[in-house]
Amino acid sequence: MSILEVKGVSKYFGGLAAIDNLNLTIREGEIRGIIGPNGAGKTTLFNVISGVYRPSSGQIFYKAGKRIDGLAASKIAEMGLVRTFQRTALYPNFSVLKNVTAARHLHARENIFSVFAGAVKKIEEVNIKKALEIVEFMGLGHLKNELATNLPHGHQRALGVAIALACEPKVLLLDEPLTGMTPTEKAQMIDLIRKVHQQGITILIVEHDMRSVMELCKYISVLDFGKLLVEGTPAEIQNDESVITAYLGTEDITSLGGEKVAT
Amino acid sequence: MIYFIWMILAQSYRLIVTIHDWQLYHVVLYGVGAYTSGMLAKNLGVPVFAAIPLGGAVASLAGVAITSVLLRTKGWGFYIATYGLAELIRLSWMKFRNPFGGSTGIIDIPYPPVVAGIDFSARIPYYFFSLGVMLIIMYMLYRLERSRIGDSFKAVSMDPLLAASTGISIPRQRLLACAIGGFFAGIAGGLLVHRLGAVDPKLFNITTMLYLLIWIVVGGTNSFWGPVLGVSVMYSLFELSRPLIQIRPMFFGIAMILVLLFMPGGLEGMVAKAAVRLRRLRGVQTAEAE
Amino acid sequence: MNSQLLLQTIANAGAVSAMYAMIAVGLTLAFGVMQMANLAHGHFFMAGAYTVYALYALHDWPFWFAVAGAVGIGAVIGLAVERGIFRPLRGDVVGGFIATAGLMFVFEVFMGEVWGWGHMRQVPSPYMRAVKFFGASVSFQRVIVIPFAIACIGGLLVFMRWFRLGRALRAVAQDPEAASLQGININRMTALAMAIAGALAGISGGIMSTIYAVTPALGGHIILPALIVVVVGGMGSVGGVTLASILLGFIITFVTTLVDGVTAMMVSVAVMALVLAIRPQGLMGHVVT
Repeated sequence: MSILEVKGVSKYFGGLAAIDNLNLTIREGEIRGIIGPNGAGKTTLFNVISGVYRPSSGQIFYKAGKRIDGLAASKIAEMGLVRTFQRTALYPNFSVLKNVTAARHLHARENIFSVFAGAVKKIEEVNIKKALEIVEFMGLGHLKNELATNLPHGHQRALGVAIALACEPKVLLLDEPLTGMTPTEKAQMIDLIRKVHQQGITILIVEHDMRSVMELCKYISVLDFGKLLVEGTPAEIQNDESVITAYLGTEDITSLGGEKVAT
Repeated sequence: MIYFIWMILAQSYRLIVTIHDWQLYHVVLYGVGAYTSGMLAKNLGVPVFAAIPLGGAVASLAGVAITSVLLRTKGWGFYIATYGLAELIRLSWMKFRNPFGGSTGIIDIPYPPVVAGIDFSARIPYYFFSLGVMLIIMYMLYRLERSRIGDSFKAVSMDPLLAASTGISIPRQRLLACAIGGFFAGIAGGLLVHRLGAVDPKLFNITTMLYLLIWIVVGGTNSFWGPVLGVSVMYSLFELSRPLIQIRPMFFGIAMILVLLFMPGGLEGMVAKAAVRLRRLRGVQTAEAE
Repeated sequence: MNSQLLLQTIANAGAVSAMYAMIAVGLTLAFGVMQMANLAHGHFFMAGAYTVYALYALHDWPFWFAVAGAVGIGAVIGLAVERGIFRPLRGDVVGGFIATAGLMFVFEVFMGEVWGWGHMRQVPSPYMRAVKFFGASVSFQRVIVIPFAIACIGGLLVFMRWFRLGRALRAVAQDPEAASLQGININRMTALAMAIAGALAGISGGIMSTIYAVTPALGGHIILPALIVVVVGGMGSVGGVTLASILLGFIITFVTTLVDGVTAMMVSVAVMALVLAIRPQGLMGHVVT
């Protein structure tokens, strides 16, 4: 059963198509890799799905035909579709734990009156407990009181995922979760993503590191110039003539099926 | 007395600043509270202690109305437009002699009554009454800042895209912030008008707003104590410099520019930094002693 | 309203539009290049007016020499504000905004102390003649600002389109990062933008000094309509701002003539709110994503 369906979606920026009549169907419970050369429109796709941009044309359906294109980002998150960011997105002046508890907004019942009545204390205790679990799960337990801005890069990326998990998503969109990580950190992150997937969360992952994508995903969609180039299993993708051509002349040529070479 | 009013204004404005909406209509909302409360008490005979919170409610609505028109206008344009719409309200007080009294304003506004043998229209009881109101409002704002709501305001100002991606609706939080801030600003207006017994549009012009900005910026906006410090220090200086009334604005203008350029955390930031340094110094000493 | 008054009002509205255009184009240019602009811009205008007062009315300089002086003073103040406030606060929109609000206080007190509080400085008009405008006589002094505004704004547009420096200015307004990668010196461009803005405010203040009573409060009076014009026209858009100046110049002049000044301001703010509710970026502004 499909949980997310992108139907003929285009997004133009000043006449240039960042994504162009794109169709994509994600099945419930799968872990899908989305790859493509730089500028193929991967991040734009995430921004359109998560409601940062309104698509120029086309429709996006979530769960049995509910149309979500054009909805506010917060509304889409509320429905269970949560994304992470390519940049390191976190609240720099909050502690690690507070970063995660703040993201429990959807599971809080606080309003201006309850602040003074103390009626929400129990819910907040649950939220903090849940946030602690997520922080521990992401391997940040020992850093929970540290300011987010002081964390090393790898931990900041992990915190980004923790923030998304705090929303208890049904579909998680990961935008280059492995960027700038050391090999050890990468291995840990891949392990964590797998664990998240095992909890029954559908995952879409955009990533440059081919080896990791091939390792994580059973099914991969390749974008090029905003269009869907080809879809298939990692083995099919690796041997696909058009994919190899698409990557020709880009810095990613060496990374097909191998470690990405630092440029 | 005026000091308590400034404190309420500065503190409620800071709440709005935590979500990064530096609007320029706060002082006019203070005026909306003053006009509403004064007119309710004078023309409709509403008891003073009921008129004051009603003034707050109307001010809160006015704030929500202005911000909701401008929700999609960004940055500099937003700040300017808040100034413009605040002027619209203020000019309507000048324009409509009936019921607002035009540029001379309204006089003969009722003073508070005698309650439980205490005459609140007298100076000293009213002083303690407004002190009490200020302390209650400060406590509420303090609790609010430490609550999830306060956190979500800060989250929105630090990274709006991230906040939205976790389901926080930015327009809703912004409107909430200006509703709360506007309510307390309106209360401050009520406190003023039932002490003065009169109100006029000049009290709420852009100059007053600029002074409010100066107290806040010089005090620092990073913590709850910044505005407290700002109002305490700057308002005292303001009163002390009364003999220099003509050139006084220049000093405060320069003070604000210097703080913006060289002391981004304001006075509060400086104190906090000094405290950290002191603690570190002491830490070194105890380490040496051991 | 008889036809004589109508024609005079139209001419006045044209003059007011031209004045707003010159002030607001400077503001919007600065906004385009720096993403912030100067709240004390009206005080630049006032500085221009006082310069003409000092040079022409007090020291008997020829009128146009005095106006040239006002241009120079405006440009110098613009440069000083860029160097002292905008450059150190680059990227901090709120900071720049509040700092120039503080600057309003500084200018106002400075002018008041130098030239006297409460004194209305009247600058005698160098041109007593009236021009015939479809049978109505209109003071020459009042409308002379119109050709000047057309020349200045036209010149600015030509400069931005055809000259290398002007094109660099536009490039910075579009994308500062890309522009600096192309080797454009951002600091030079912001300084240039503020100098042009200051000069335009100076020239309009200088020319209009003969019509307005020059007081330390002049800057505060002129800034609100100018800001409204910028917001309505679209921040950063010279064309949109020119259009909005004409729109608001006519609205304000006509409502002032028919009703009063307070109502005129109220109507123009209401127009602004309406425009922003429909088009948050202003009439011809770009959507910033």
